[in-house]
Parts: sequence; structure tokens; C-alpha cells
Amino acid sequence: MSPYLLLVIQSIALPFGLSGLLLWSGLHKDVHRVIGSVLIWLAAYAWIIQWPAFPPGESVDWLWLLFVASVVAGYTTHRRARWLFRTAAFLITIMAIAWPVLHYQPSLALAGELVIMIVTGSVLFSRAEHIPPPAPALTLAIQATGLAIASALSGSLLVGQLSAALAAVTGSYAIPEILDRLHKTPFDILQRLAFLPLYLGLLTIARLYAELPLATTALLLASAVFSALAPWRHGWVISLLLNAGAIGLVILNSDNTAYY
Amino acid sequence: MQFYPAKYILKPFAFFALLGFLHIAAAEGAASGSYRIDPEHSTVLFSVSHLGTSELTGRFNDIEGSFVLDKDKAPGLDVTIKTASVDTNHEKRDAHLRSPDFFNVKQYPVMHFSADKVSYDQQGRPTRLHGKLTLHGKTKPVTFMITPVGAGKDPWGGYRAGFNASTTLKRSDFGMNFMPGGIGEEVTVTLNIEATKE
Repeated sequence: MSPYLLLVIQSIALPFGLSGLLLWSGLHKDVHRVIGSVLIWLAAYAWIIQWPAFPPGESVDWLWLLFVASVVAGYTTHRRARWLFRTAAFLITIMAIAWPVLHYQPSLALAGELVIMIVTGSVLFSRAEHIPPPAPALTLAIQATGLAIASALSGSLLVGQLSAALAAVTGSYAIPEILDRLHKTPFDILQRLAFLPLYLGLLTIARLYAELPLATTALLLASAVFSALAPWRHGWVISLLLNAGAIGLVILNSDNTAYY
Repeated sequence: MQFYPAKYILKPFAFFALLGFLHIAAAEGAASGSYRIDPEHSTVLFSVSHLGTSELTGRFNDIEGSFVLDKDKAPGLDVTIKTASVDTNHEKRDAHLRSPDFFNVKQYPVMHFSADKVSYDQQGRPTRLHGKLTLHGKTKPVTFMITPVGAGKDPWGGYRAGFNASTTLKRSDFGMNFMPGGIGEEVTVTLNIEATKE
């Protein structure tokens, strides 16, 4: 099998297909769908990175812990406790991911970027519970696709693949959203709140380790913030434009986008 | 147009004279002592299969280290290579190699080889260099096949010695698993070392 076909199967075909099967399998309990979609992404993740190291060694090894902690946080009874749990898990994971860079190349700019990422995450987690966006799966799929393409173009195919798997899992939920003209969604709030920290974790890894340019990172983060703070029915168009701009910037700043 | 005899006649002769001198010195074996690696005349090369159709060769441009030449002592070879200096003559590929997909240079900025034993043949020539390589956060025992190249006085009054060493690694042993099939599992590493006696 061609190695590039394998990449497509690992990061797009398998998670999209399994997620679609799960959606149309008649599992109506939210908890089943949440756990099902989480397991699908984790399966793709384990295959792509050839199984994470434990205890975590590299930045991508932390992702599953963040993901699982975010899912568990969703089942905490009290709303404020949920937010605190989710934010604490996000804070700890982002610091663990960033620690090697902070250790070798500490800088105020880096610390500032991390603070912005953590504060943004915290605000988005709180906001997502209060005012869910009208097309959460479509919006998240657009954001994850943007990150996948930008990351693959800027340096890391691995982070691109993990983001593509996230886009594929959420993308299958985007189809019924589009068919229903964005009036309703099968994508549960718990799913959004599990995948959102994962997306932000991948964005952090791409920025810190895969040379994702600052302007591109800012546009991708702005897309996530916009979709949470401006929950219009067709806000996804703005999100799409911001992601297209982020990818465009990577292409413009690259002197060579040729296949290698 | 001016003619510079020193530039056109004397320099080439001086070069060949130096080569001859180094060759004689090599035949006699390098002098014992401590040496510091000359990064401007040393290279670290690697080659790996690409799609099973060709061998892609790259290099690391930032190398430093030292060793001791003395049959009665441990070699004390210590080589540190900055992983961000990877160079395959393609900027995008180099960025990819620096990313978490491969060398993850932000987390593992250096790779390090330290040798603690040298094997000699019956004529007393060094043949193998045994040591430990730390790469991508993992330390594994590695043996390099070693070929002394030459030794002798240089034109600046110093003393130089050089050797070539090569080995084959499995990248998965060092946790570099990405793109199996597309990129070969076995990586050939070659050190071409020139060092000045301290």
C-alpha cells in the first residue's frame, strides 16, 4: 500500500467512516455517541502515532490524557466544577506540552502566547456550555481542517494527520447539520466540550513544535473564538474565511510548497 | 593584468606537499593525546530509503566534540550534534524533519554520542568504536565501524588527525516511527571527523 494512501485511511477515511456508522447506527443515548466518537478519534490517534508513550515523552503523547480528562469533566455534576475541572486539565496539559520549549528556550513572548491560549480555552469552555453555537460540528470540522492543512504545509504532517482525524470525526456530524439547514445538530454539547480542548491542544503543539507561524495561529484561534462569541446561524462562513486566510498565509510565507 | 606567482604556482605545490606530509604521518599513526573536533572540516551524514526507490542523503551542520587517542586509555569520544542543523537541501523537508514527526528539535535539541571502548585489529589499527547514542530522548548502545584516515602537522603549526566512522541504526529504536513504509526503517550514519590536537 502506498504510504500516502495509508495516511488518508488513518486520518480521514477510517475516522469519518466509523463516525458516520456510529451516527447512523441508531445509538440515541448521548453517552454512547460521546464515548463512541472519543474512541474513534483515539483509535486513529493510536494508529497515527504508533501508540503513545506512557508516561508521556513528547507533546503528542499528552493529547489522549487531555481528551479523556475533558470527557470525564463533562460528567461532573456541578456546572462550575465541570468548568474548573476542564480548565485545570487544559492548563496542566498545555504546561506539560510546553515544558520542553519553556525549559530550553524560555521567553516572555512564549509565556504570553501560552497565557493567551489558556485564557482563551477557559473562556471558550465556559461559553460553550452557556451558549452552544448553531452548527458546532460543522464549525469544529472547518477549524480542524484549517489546522490540519496549515500544519501539514508548515512542517508537521503528524499534527496535520491528528487534526484531520478530528475534522473527520466531527465532519460526519456536519452532514446532518447541513441537511437540516443548520437548524439542529446531532452533535452533543459534551462532544463539543471534549473535542474543543483537543483542538486547542493540537493548535498549541503546531505552534510550539511545528513552526506554525504566529499570524496563522492567531487566525485559527480567532476562528474558534469567533464561532463561540458570535453564535450566528451562518457564522461558519466567517470561520471558513478565517481558516482560508490562515492557510493562505502559510502558502504565502512559504517559498516552496512543492511535494517532497 | 597582474600575475601572482604565489597564488597560481606556490599554493598548489604547498597543497600537494601538505597532502604528502599528511600521508606519511598517517602511515606512522596519529600521535597520542587529546583532540578537539574541527567542525568546519567534519561532517555528519545520514542516508535513508525514500519510498523504497532511492537513498536520500542529509547532513547535520552543527557538530562539536572531542576525543582522546591513547591505546591504554578509554577513547573518551564525545560528539554533540544540534538536531536543528539538519540539512537535506530542501527547506520544507528540513522543517518537516525538525518537527515532532521526526527529530522534534524543540524538545530534543541535541543528539549525543559518547564512546567508551575501541576494538583493534591484529595490526593494532582501530576497527570499531563502541558507545551510546542519545537521540530523540532515547539512549541505545551503538557500534561504529571506524577507519583512520590520516594524521600530521598542519600548515599552521598544529597537529591534526582524522577518521571516518559509520553505522546503521533502526530509527524505531529511537522512537522515530512516523511514516513507516514511506521512509526506511534503517538509517546509515557516517561521521567524517577531523580534529586538532590540544
